[in-house]
Amino acid sequence: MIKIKNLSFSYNTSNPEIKEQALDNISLEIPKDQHTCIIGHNGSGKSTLAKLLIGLDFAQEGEIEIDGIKLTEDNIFEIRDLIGIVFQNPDNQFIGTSVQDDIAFGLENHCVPTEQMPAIVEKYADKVGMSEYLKHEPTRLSGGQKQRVAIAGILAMNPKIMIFDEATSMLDPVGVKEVNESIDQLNRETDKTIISITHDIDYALKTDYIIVLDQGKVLFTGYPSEIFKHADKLIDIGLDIPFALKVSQRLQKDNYQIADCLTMKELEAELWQLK
Amino acid sequence: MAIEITNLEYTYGKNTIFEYQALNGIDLTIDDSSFVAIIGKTGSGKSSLIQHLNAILLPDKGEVKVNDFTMTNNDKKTSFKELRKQVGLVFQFSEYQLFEESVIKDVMFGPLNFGVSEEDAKELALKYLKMVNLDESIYEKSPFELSGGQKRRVAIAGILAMDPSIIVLDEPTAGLDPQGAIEIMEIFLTLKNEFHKTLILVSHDMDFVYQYADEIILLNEGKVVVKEDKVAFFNEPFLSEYNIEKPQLLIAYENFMKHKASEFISFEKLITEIEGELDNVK
Repeated sequence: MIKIKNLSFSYNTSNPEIKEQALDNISLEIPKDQHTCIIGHNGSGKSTLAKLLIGLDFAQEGEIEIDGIKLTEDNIFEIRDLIGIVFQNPDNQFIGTSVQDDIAFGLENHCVPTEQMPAIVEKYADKVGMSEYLKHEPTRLSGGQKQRVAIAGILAMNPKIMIFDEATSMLDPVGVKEVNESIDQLNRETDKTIISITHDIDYALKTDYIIVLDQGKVLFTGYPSEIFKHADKLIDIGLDIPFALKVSQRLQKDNYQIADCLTMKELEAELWQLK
Repeated sequence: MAIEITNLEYTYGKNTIFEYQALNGIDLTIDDSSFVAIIGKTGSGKSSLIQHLNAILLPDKGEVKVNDFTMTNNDKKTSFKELRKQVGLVFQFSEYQLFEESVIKDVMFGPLNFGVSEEDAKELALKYLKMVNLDESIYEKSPFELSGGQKRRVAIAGILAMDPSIIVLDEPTAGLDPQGAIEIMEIFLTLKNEFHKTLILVSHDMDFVYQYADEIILLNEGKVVVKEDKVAFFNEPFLSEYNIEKPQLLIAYENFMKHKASEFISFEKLITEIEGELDNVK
C-alpha cells in the first residue's frame, strides 16, 4: 500500500509572483495489488505525483510511505527496486543502442544473470509486439513503437508497483487495446499494484479505484461507479464522462425515465427497455 | 488543388538490413480549403507521407506537388525553404520543440526566420497567440513554465504565425485533457472555416476524425486504401478488416436505430433520433 500524507510540492519558477503549487497538501492511499487510475486535467498534478512516488523529485512538505517504508533521499534506490514507471514521452527514458539492450537495461540494474536475459527480453518484446525490432535503434522507431519498448522494459523488470503515465498516448487503437490487455492480465494474474495516469475515461471505468486530482488537490477517490456520480463536476474541471453517461443524462434532462449508464451495453439495454 | 501526389514511393535505410519500404505507390489529391483526416495503423505510412508534404523527405520514385512546388527524386531538400513556409507541420508532442526564453519570442521565431521584420513578427505572434486562446499574462513567461496544454498551443501558434496555407497536424491532441483537446480541435475548425486553410489531420481518434474532418484517407502498408466522404467511409464493410472502430456517435446510433446513418450524426441529431423513436412507440 502507498500512503501519502499532507504532500505539497511546488516548482521553482523564475517569476517570484507566481507560486506554482503543483501539489497542495494532498493525502490519499493507493490500495495494494489493485489497479488504480489517476485522472485530472493537464496541470492538475498527476505527473508530479508520479515523479514524487519514484523519487525523481522530493516534496517540500509531507510524506510518502511505500509498503511501510517512508521514502527519503537516502533510501530512494531501495524504493526504486519496488517501483517502475513508463513516462508519456518515451524519448526521455531510452538508454540502450538497440531495442534489446534497452529492455535488458532494467534487468542489468536488478542483477539478473546475463544468460537469463535473452529469454526474458524476447518474452516481453513479444508481449508488446516488438519481436521483429530487437536489433533496431530505439531512436529511429515511431512514437508508438517507442512506447511499446518502454512498456516491455518495465514488464521485464517486473517491479511490485508499476506506474503508467499516459503510456499509450502515441499508440494506435489496436496497440492501446493490446497493451491495456497486458496490463489487465498482470493485474488479474499477479499481485501487482498498478497505477495508470490517463485521459481515457472508458479505460478508467475498467480499473478498480479512481483518484481525481484538480489543481493540485484530491477532488474525489472511489470506485468508478461512485466517481461518475459527480458527472457535472468532472466536466466542470475539464474532464470527460463516458459517452453512454452523456447520452443517458441528456435523456433524463428531457424527462425520459432512464438510469445512468456507464457503458454502451448498459445504454442499449436501458433504451430497449424504454421502447 | 493543394496537393497532388502521383505514384509516390519511399524506402528507409536503403541497402541496409533495416531497409523498409514505407510508401508503396501513393496516388492522392487533396483540395484547397478541405479538412481531411489520414488514418491507418502504426507503420501504415502516415508519418512518412506527411513528411513529403514539406520536403523533409523527398520521393524515391514518383512526384509530390504542393501548391506551386514539385518534388521528385532529383531535387535537393534545401531548395524548398519557401514551401516550408506554406506547409506548417505540427508534430506529435510539438511542445518538445519550444526553446526560446519567452512565449512571444518562441512564436516570433518562425516569421523572423523567414525574413519578416521584428515588428511584423511580433504582430503575427500576438495575433496567433490570441487565436489559440492563450492569455496575455503568459506571453513574457518562459514556455517551460506552462502546462502541457498551454505549451502545445504555443507550438501551434508558432506554426500558424508563418501563415501557412496548408496545416498538417500529427496527433495534435495526444496527451491533452478532454476539454483541452476539444478546444484545440475547434481552433482548427475555425482555421478551415474562416481562414480557408487546408487541414490535414493525422489521428487515431475516430470520434474527432468523424466530428471534424470532411474526408477520410485510409492508408495501409504504404498505399491509399480509400479516400472518401466520412459518412460513406464509416459505413464501409471493410472497417473491421482494418481494425477501425466506429465513432461512439455512430455505434450508439446503429445500436438503437438498427440501420446505418445516411448523413452525419451529431450528438444533437443522435438525441433527436432516439427521442423520436421512443415517442413513436409510446
